[in-house]
Amino acid sequence: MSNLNEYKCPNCGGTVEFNSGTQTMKCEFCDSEFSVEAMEAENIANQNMSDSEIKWNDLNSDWGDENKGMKVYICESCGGEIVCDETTTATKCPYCDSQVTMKGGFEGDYRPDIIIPFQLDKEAAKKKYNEFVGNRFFLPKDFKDKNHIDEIKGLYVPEWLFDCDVSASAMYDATKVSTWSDSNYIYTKTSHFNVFRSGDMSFAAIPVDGSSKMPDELMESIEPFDVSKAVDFKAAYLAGYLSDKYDVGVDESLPRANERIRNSAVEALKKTVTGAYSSIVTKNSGVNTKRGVNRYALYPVWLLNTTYNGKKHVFIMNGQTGKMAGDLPINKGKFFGVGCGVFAGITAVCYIIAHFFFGL
Amino acid sequence: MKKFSKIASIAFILLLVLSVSITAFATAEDTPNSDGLLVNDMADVLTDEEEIELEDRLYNICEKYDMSFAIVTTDNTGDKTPEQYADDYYDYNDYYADGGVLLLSTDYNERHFSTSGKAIDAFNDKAFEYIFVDNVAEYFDDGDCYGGFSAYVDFTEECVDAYCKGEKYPPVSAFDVWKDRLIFFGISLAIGIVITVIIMLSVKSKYKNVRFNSGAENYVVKDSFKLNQSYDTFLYSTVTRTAKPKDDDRSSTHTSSSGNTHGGGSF
Repeated sequence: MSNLNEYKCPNCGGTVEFNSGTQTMKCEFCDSEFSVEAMEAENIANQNMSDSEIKWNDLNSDWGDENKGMKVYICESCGGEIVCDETTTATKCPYCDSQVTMKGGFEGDYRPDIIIPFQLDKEAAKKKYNEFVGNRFFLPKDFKDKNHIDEIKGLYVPEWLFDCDVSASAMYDATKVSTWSDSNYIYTKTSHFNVFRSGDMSFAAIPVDGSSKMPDELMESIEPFDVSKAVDFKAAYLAGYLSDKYDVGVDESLPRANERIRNSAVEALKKTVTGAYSSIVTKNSGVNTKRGVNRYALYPVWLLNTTYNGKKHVFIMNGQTGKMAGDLPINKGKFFGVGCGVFAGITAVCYIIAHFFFGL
Repeated sequence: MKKFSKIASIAFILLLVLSVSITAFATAEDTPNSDGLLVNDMADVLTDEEEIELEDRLYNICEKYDMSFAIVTTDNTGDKTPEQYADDYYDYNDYYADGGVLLLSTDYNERHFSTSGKAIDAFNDKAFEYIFVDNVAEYFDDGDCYGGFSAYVDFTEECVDAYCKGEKYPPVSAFDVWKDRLIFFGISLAIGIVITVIIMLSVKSKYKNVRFNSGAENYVVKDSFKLNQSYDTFLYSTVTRTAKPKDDDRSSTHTSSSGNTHGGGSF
């Protein structure tokens, strides 16, 4: 029995992929459309009818340390070898372009609880990218002129979602400042206050990146995802996209979630400090979490790679909302020149104002 | 009866006039009449030639600017302080409304310059310090009374001339002008650097928007926040004071016994 999973069209036998526009499974060859549930049932039936006696070779056993973490699968469509790392759960055959998912990738703890299906397709990703790059003033001209995307990948990224109730308390140093004057002196009175606040709040679905291959700041840059649109996981949603299973465990992800919870809780309490204070500084704080629950989810992102001056630039788009993030190159000469111009202008204006007001 | 009433009325008026005259005499009696002189050397610290020479120079200022500037010396101010004596001397002599008098009081071993009218503005605090404290005082400290009075006349003419032309006095030196320009240029540079850095960093952030989120505000369950405890406790307060920057054109004033406003000061 194969350790790969391909969704074949019941009508023509072509590869079926998840279509983000219609939210159905669609055959790219005959344009037939099927519901995700129907395709899942069809796939299970096909697997039960396959010959269980046939053993596929697991070719990764003798590769040694150099290729540790790599796995080789045999494509069911063309028989070609698919080499990928062991966290890969969905990929594409490099020979026949068939979309395949790895069956073992979702067993036991690796089975996601929920998945947010793609809402935006590849064309939408390209459009958003072009809007993001736009006609920016400081973008190098040759980057604009030769701007082409090397690769666009639709990827499901493993995320840990943390739900919890929080009891937080915080102590702030606050000051009120008042001034008055007589004929000779200006007096400043600074009153110091000890401000205490405590309160409860709940958090739902705080995401923490569960993939070591995906930079955490990239995933956080395209937040938020609307988890209310998530559905129960079905492997069929992965058809047509790449996917990894988590390799950063829940225990390793928890500190990042706690850090974000603490910052938000202290900030929420700080917003309740009113009373015309001139300054509010957090002195100490305590945050206790209750009823913490975590879930394993797959979030949809589009990754766009482009190369400029030999440097790879990665852009990422939220596959649900279309929010785009990435670091664009800057024409340093132009940036420096404009900076000097702004500096000269502001300095001149300040000096002219001084000249008029103080008669210099 | 009618005749008696008329006599009583005349007697009352005479009594009133007499009492007013006695009061005026009593106020002015300690203040010698200058007989129109601009130099009155009662302490005899100047020679006759020096008095005449100073009188001529002060008279020229008087003619040119319609302001009276006088010199008086005394070894007995009576029960008046030098300030009161100088103020009354100017008020009860026949001088212009605008002007001043420099008093040398040998009994108090003090000099006092009293101004009146427009001279209060002309001899503002900065001008007073420059003329009397920085320049004239040293002559008197060295025992050179004529030198002090002569310097007073020279500086007075300069100051009044600048005032009438609407110019600053004392004149600002070229060094001070360039020093101020350099300071303001330095401040302008600093402001320019700070604002430019803020603007350019803001522009740069629009090109590089990959960053961590500090909190999780997007994931707070709606209406879940509940404030349980809240108190603000006053701890202590501190008061600091800083001297006000001096107003260059400010003139310190006071009111004399006659009710007139005077400026100037002792040195």
